[in-house]
Amino acid sequence: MIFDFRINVFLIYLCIMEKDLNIELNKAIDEILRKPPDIGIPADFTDRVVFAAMKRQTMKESLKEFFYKCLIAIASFIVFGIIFYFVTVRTPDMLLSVLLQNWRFILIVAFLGFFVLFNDQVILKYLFRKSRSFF
Amino acid sequence: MEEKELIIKIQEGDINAFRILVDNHKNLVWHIVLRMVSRQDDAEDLCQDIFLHIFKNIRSFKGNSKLSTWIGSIAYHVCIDFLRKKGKEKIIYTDQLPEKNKNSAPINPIIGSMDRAHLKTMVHHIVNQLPVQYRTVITLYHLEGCSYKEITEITGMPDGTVKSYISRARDMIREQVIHCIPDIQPVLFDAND
Repeated sequence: MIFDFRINVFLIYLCIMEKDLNIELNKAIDEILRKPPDIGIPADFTDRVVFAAMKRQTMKESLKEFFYKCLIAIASFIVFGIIFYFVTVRTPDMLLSVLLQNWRFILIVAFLGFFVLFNDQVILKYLFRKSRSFF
Repeated sequence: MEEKELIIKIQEGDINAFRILVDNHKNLVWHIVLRMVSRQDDAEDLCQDIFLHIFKNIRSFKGNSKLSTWIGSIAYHVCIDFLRKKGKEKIIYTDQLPEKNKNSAPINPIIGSMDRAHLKTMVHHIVNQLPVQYRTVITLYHLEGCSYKEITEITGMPDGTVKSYISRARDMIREQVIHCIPDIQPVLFDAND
């Protein structure tokens, strides 16, 4: 009778111990999972991201500016053509024939103009920013 | 600076406001990415891509959720895309709970003395071997202190799935720890003394 009682007490003790062990293990796992990983984010991470964003933004703005300037150039050319047409009072056929006769020259001038503008507005700005980041 | 004000300034192209956003949320993104992709080099590149994506798409943030939830969601989906492209991880989309990650190397039981520092290393090692969704939800829940609702918004998983993933992940970690350290009692109780 006394022996049975002791066994029961021992079994209850073992159950309590196991329960305690599980609670402690859960607590330990919780605590570990709440801690950040040992590998931290690099110290210069923010600077790198901000610089990349700035580069992207500059490029976007440069391209936007370039397209606006192109639009202004094309619009000016059209306005100039219209004024030329009304001032000289010639027929549209004459204006067209002048354009057709000089199309190579006009194309080269337009291409050079846009090329210089693109280099100035986009490429040079990009290279300048890149060289500043390099040094 | 308030969140709304910060977002408006970033939308206007204010780089300093973007710097504040990066500083405030870099740890959240880093924890999600590092837990999901494991490799530090990949994690750094992905974090940068995520913040650039945020900068580019900040106009699409409507303020229906918290900014951190929106950022977490972008980080999660960028990582899922990365893992899918690499083909390294099997992405589970169902509520099916695998017994264990078959790609993972078995952890052998440890015989001899052990302390809390070792236990920490072991738990992190076990976590890294869990399937990617498990790793993510327990990181968001325990490390970032996200609620179930926030985890649902970030990952797009149903509420029930999030709860079962967290519970199952914890069970798997506990089972693995008990398997690896049969005599866990001294490790746990020594630290409390």
